[in-house]
Amino acid sequence: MSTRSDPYLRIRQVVFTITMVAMTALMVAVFLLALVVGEGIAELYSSE
Amino acid sequence: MGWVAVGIIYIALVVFFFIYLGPSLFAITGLGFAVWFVVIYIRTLYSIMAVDPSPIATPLAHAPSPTPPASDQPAYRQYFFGQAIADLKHSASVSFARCQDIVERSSTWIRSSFFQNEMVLATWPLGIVSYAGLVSGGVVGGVVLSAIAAIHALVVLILQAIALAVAYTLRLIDTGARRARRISMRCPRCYEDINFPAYDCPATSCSIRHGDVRPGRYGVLRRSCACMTRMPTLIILGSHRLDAYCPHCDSPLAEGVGTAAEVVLPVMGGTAAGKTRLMASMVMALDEMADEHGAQLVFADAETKREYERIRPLLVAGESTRATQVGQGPRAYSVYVAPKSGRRKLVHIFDPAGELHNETERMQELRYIRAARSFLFVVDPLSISDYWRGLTDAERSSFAQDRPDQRLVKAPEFVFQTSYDNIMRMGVNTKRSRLAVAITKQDVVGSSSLQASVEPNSDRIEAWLRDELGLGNMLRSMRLNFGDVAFFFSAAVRVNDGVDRSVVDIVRWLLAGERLYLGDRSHAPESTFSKEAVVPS
Repeated sequence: MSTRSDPYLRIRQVVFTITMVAMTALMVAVFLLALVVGEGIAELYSSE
Repeated sequence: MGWVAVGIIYIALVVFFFIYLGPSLFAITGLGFAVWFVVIYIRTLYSIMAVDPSPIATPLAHAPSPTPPASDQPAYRQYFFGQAIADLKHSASVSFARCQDIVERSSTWIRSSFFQNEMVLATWPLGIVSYAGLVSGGVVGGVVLSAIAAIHALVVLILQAIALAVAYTLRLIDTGARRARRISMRCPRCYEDINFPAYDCPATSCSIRHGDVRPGRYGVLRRSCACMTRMPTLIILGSHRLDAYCPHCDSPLAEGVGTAAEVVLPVMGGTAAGKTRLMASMVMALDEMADEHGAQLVFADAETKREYERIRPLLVAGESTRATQVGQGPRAYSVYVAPKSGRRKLVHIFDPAGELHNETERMQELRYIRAARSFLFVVDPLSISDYWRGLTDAERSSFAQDRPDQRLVKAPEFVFQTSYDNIMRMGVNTKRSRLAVAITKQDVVGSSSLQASVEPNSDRIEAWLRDELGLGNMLRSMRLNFGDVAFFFSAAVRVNDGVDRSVVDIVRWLLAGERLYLGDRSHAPESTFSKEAVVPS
């Protein structure tokens, strides 16, 4: 049976990694959404 | 006039700054602060969550105690049962404090750099833009931080739900697997049914006892003891390798308990009927049968091994075994039997003091009987008054030393009826149970004038007990109440370096009822006890 200095270390690392991946994914999604919305607005103005 | 022109130029420059440079500077400053705040949060989160040892570690939400109250366990709580939220709060509060510090220091720097100098008329617009950038950066950073914290909280919530689902699914799988294999656990000391054993921490320097290690708020696959040693939470995950104890009475359980179906063989009978000797012989018979048929026999606990090693030399030497002490309750011989084909089983042969079978109140202590489906009733022929009276004077004087003290002995009919009443009271369906009746001490009395014409097979022995020894009522009760009854002569002695065949026959017949076959898989064999082959003790 193994012993660790911090019983929560591994699970904390997992949670941190998942949080960072989710945050990055959210930021990319927001950026892409902004890009699409921006293009849409630009198209709207150019057609007018 | 000149001053007016200077004023106009100054105002024009300020307006120019706010229209053309200010917005860009405002955006850069704001973005800078926002990114700075986000970086601070991520670095804080990293320090708390991914560094060991962390310089800003979260205090334990629940510090385990080696001697916790009854509602608690001497183990660290599973991360998602308290510590995860503590980490979230801690990272938010540390980040907030750090960001607040940045804001205060930046604010001080902006004030001293742009509003408290000799060139204040030239620098104040930069100060205004910097302040605005700081405020907007704070707002944007706050929004982003909140989004990250919300993601963190969501991740924690989702993982907590998954942890709970996995924990209870694992419990179900473990319970289901044990039920499918008909594995139940029972304490050989207090005889209570055990849902799950208590386990000692495997660390040699610790040995704290954990009452319930199953998946839950103290761990899903593993739990961390207060000493930080990790332990498996289920038998399917390896907890059977730990030292197991009864959660009701703290008695040690068999090694590997919960990994094999249990077979309970209660041995009943009056005082000094020869139960202890017969039971030890049964274990020896099991051992020899296992050797003969390529099966494996392993002592399930140290106590069984110790007791067997104590009693075996006495049996081999043909010496007397001391009577089982009353008051401590019976203790089982517990052995794992792994046949060549078929599943391994844990066989408990219980060794009660004969006195318990005479007393209804004390008989209740023998709760293990609830789990039994095969019973062995031991009858000392010398305790049957008709038998004793039928012997010749010479035989009586020869057997006198083997006859139990008549002041302590109850008639077999009484002992059987008391035992049966208690079996019924404990809810055993005897109609579906088997009863072996062993007429013991055949090594002593087998050649007596009363038995000379009795062939050692079940039907003849039954007829002899009924017709010549006046036990008809007891036999009728046995036949009426038990699904299957067989009668054996038995001699708990060794013949030609082996246990007497009569004991082997009893063991084989009893185990056949539990679907544990060592060698012959046919119906219960008839006794092959041979009077000539027995070595008198």
